[in-house]
Amino acid sequence: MFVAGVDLGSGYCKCVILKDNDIVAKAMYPIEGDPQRISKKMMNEMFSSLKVKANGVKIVCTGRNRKKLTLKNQEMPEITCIANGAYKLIPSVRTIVDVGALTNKVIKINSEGRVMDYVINDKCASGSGMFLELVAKALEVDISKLGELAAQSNNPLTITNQCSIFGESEVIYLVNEGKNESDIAAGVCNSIAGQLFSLLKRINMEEDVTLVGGVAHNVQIRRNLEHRLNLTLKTFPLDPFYIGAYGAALYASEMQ
Amino acid sequence: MTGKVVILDDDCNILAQKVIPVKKLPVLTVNALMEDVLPRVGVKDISEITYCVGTGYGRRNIPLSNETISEITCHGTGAHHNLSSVRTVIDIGGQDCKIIRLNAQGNLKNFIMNEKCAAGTGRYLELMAETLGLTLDELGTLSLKAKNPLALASKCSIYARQEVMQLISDGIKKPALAAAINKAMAERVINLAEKIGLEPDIAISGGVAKNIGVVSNMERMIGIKFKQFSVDPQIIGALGAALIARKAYQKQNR
Repeated sequence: MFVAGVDLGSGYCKCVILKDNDIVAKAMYPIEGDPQRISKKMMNEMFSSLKVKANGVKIVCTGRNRKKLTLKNQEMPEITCIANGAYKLIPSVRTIVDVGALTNKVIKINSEGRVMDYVINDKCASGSGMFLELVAKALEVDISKLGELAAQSNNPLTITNQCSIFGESEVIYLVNEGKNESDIAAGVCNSIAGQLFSLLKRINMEEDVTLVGGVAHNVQIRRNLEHRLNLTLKTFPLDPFYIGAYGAALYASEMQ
Repeated sequence: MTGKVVILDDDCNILAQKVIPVKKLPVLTVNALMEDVLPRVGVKDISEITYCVGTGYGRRNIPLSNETISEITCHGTGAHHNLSSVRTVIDIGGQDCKIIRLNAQGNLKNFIMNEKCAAGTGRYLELMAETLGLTLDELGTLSLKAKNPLALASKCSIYARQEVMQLISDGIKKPALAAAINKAMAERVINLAEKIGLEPDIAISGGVAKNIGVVSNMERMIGIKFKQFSVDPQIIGALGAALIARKAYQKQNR
């Protein structure tokens, strides 16, 4: 029996398909244009490659744009799905840091995986994945390489602006001044880690702690956050991009 | 976002002025400005400039300046000189927004500034114009054609960009979006201004003063018509800097 979880965020659409609780397919598309059209196209491609009919699959959708997916049986909030997916993969996890394209969240769960508390920065895009994307563009490096570039730095710069738009201007200025690119990248990554650290301070953090979302791939942000927290962040046996979608798929499998 | 220069003679007459988009580095902007204005006033060498005051975001990087003065002081000085009845100057620059309160003598009474968040600054409008595929000028004029102006839910520039992109794909027309953007911009500035109060006469300096959509929204919100400067509102800060330079030179040579 196939079930699907879709995480239709602001930056990417992520989908996980399970068969008898095992992951049989996963895919991710950047959202450039209409989320509705992109998610539909992606789902159809995934279903046809598995040779299953869409109407026979239970689908749970989460993410900021979840209302836009027409093909679904149920909607679930992101916080619930992220908690569900993270807990299933690492039962010892109690605090989850989610860095999205536009918002950052910290979620606290108990020993049964239930959400106990959460904090969100949804007032502005400071410290979000979008900032990292703008910086990657300004430095002319692929966003997936930004963490490694930053990790080479011996002398990280300080980025003074919190606002992503002003931060982008600051980075462009530093590039024009001829500053070392890895030092700039490290400054940016440390600034994001600093903002995640501030968000964590607003909640009564408990170990184990883990990082989800695409930014979890960034080695410098991870390292800097670990340094500030003086602990090791737990890593998933699944690409951290898909934790929310996986959590949604688990809910879908409970629906039968 | 722009560099401006004003050259004054002994009697405070503007001999030359110029506004250009900033180059990669402040020093390059200054050089380009000087190459433009100096020949026009018959100055062959930069050393003939007797006194130079630098102001603005990049003021510490102007090689020929004798001293640097804050933008607040320069905008206040320039505004009072050009329009002595002015008591409140709203300066909307590329990287910040300032509300400056002056007394009858043109001295600074109070000010408030947003330099932390791009919303409510020129950068916000630039980003929105880019998203709509319009120039900054078009963003102002097009908004006047809107029949049913919308309201944007987002304050953050990045959130607003996502929202506008969604509204475009929902089929909302550009004039309605331009109007919504200008209204949101006006709200940010007025919200900031109301923290220190607005005393008439009020005038707007900076590039955004040329956006009729933003200006008319602000006027409607506070119910007061703004006074117009008799010079380009974008050079008020540079004019103030030049006036301070002239005074400093006279004091030096007394």
